[in-house]
Amino acid sequence: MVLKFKLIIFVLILFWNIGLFVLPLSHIFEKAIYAFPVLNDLYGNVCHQEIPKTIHINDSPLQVCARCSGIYFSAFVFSLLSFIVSKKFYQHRFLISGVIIIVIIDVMLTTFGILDYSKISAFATGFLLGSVSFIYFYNALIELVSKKQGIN
Amino acid sequence: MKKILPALVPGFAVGVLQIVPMLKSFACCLLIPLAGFFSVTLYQKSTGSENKIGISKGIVLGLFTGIFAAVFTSLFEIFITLITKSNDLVLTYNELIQTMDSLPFDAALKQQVIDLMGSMKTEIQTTGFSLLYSFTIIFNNFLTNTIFGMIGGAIGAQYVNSKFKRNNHVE
Repeated sequence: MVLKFKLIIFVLILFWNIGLFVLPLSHIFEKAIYAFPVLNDLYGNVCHQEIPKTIHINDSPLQVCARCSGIYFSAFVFSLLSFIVSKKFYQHRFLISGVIIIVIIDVMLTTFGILDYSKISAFATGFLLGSVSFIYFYNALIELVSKKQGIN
Repeated sequence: MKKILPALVPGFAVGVLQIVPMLKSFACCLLIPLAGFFSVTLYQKSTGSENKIGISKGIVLGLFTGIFAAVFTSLFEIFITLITKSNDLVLTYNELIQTMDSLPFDAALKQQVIDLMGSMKTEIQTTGFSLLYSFTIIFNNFLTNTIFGMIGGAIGAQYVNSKFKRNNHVE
């Protein structure tokens, strides 16, 4: 049951990540462009999508900004890692608070012009936040599934 | 009602905050998971519980938050579009066309997609309402807000529970 859950999470995150690449992918699969108006609005719900802040592949932007790309890419990486980890990932109470503070500092510094916006730092902080969030989410699901298995 | 109210407050807050353009750019994808997270902490505060919260309860709270957020966000967005006859699609239309133009594929295919977006833009600018656009935002809001709300709820429950290491009783 745990493996089934891991697989479902992995597939969902994989599809979500593929959707980010709709414009670069349309260079290879032209028909992918039909999904663009819907996907553009879908990802627009969860990201500001400012073109200068997005990562470009083949001169085509991804559907979300560099920070969000980091979040979703890390979720993908950790969902892959979850197949190797047999139990829960290590988590600490202050981990998520610490990472959120780092992200807020990075956002503040660039928003108020103290530092120039860097896609690398945005991606890196996003990656940190995404990985810690995934760990919490994954551990919560594993706890839930294990509890259900114990009852059944 | 105990689960509805802690979800309604952050859900409504998201609905309001998502229509503030500058704030959307600032909060990005964190707004809905944070709302789910806060619904769990609000629930704990409202019940005055000193015990761990069940993960499934956290997920349900996050789901309710997502549903409320989707309802309020869609309502506000449709209502404001109706009054102002402008929205994100109208404002970013030229940018989207430029992005489409930069793609190296069949002009007819490109034109079909541009026409589709153009018809939505024209409808919004003339009547303030586009059925296709409204359907798209309602569907997308429900899809993303419920999923991200549940993620936030699960993370919130896990975070709240980490405070009660010694107390193993789960509500």
